[in-house]
Amino acid sequence: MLAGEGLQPTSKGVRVHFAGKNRTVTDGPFAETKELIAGYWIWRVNSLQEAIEWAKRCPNPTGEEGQLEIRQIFEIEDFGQAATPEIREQERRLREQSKQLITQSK
Amino acid sequence: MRFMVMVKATKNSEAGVMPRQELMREMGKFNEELV
Repeated sequence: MLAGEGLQPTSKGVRVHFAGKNRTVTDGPFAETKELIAGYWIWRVNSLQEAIEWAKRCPNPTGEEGQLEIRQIFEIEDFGQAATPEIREQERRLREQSKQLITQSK
Repeated sequence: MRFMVMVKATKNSEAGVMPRQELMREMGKFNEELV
């Protein structure tokens, strides 16, 4: 596990809607429970199959019928040519800096 | 490879129903194994 957090209910959240140059802020709660997320983990594993095996062993997080959705994270390599050497260096530096921030904030 | 594993919301989670001690303990054990 690289990270994991619980998210507070959408009654405390907002959405920022992007349309052209416009930004609209809408307060929660949001009605479509099926589309909402209550928490997440980030895992480093060798395959989707391994992630599935771990997910099946998870204690049911919400205490009622529920779902986990598993999505692979893009690595910088996946962006190919669009990720220029400058961008890759910046990405490396930003990750390093944010790691420091995480250590300091605990 | 990295994956994000998302816990989908439920009526309980949206109502702010907090996890009971037993679930917190089981989740702690699970997170130990994950790490």
